[in-house]
Amino acid sequence: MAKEIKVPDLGVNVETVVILKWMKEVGDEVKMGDVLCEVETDKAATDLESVAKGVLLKKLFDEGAEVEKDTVIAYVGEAGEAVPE
Amino acid sequence: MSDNKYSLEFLLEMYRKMVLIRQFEDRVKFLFLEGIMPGTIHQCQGQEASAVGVCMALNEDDVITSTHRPHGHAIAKGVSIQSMMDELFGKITGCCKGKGGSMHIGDLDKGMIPAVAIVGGNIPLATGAALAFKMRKEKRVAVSFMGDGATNEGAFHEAVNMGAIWNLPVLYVVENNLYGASTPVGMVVRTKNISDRAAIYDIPGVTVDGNDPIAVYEAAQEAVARARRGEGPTLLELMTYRITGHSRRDPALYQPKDEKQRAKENEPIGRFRKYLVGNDLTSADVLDKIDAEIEEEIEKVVVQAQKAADPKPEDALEDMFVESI
Repeated sequence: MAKEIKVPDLGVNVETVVILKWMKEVGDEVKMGDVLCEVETDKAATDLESVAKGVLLKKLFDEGAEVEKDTVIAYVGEAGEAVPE
Repeated sequence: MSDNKYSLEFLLEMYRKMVLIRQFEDRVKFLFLEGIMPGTIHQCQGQEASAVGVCMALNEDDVITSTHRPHGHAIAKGVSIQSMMDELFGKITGCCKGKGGSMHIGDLDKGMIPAVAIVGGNIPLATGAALAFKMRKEKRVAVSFMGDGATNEGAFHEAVNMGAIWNLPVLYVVENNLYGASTPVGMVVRTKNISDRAAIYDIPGVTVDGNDPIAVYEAAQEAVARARRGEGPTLLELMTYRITGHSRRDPALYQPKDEKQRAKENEPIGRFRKYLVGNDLTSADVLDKIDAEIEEEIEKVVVQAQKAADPKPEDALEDMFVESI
């Protein structure tokens, strides 16, 4: 089953992050710990690592989007697998 | 690394323990990023060789004390990874019955006094354990693991001095990963090496490549033998690097990119693999098989830990007082 990639808890008082840059494209192979995108909190820019392995199936936000903590931003799973709309 | 004089069995055990630590840490990191694991964690990816090299030079009844970054030391000393994972999930089956968490991992039956998260706090404890061994005339040794930052604490100097004046059977093992949290060690320590500080207590001070498990093992063996002979402590400085943040939410932006890159090329497991395969001591297939077995083992441990029972509220009142020793 495709796995949700969420914005993790990045620290005290960090409620939202801005997606600065996607480092993977849809269809790219992803290993555990690969950097999916760079995000910025109100303190610093940091890498957001994948907690699943497989293929990047879908990105839900564009670069520049502000996203709340715990929001699903991408799906990683097996190639060709369906993801929720 | 020098010419091999060890059995393949010994070398593979060294490899297996380092990989077990790395995979345990990586799995915990992902559990944390997924929001499944509570709390914070201080991890030791990149520092596996120091824990494994030192602990393999110890006997089962020797004891170690550790820090806020204790997972590697615990695994190297033989604490069960199930009891550790259960503890990280706060379960009743954890090594501290779910009351300690990451920073107080330990198991007295395996010779690990529960870790002390206060920087430098474990150094007097190891010294005290060594004093007890000496008073009881037991041929046991105590080891205090610490980071470079701890060597600026008063507790370090008081404890090392006491260990020195009484010739206690103790090893002071400094894992110098170049940063005390985010502070570069050169900013807060004047001497070239931390081991130079041994001179003022008139004990041996040695600096060793802490990413070479064999070099660490040999240095530890010598220090352990000295301690067991009743000749007192050694200050062992193991040069290493933390290839992860100080704590889970630390992106480690203070580590320069080129330094980080060099450190990744010098990390102990990759290096040891190259050594083992490059010298025809074993094959990559054998090592890959060990990796895969460990991955499976850890997966089982995670599933089991999540199913384990939580402590009951009334359990909070247990273990408050020692009624007899």
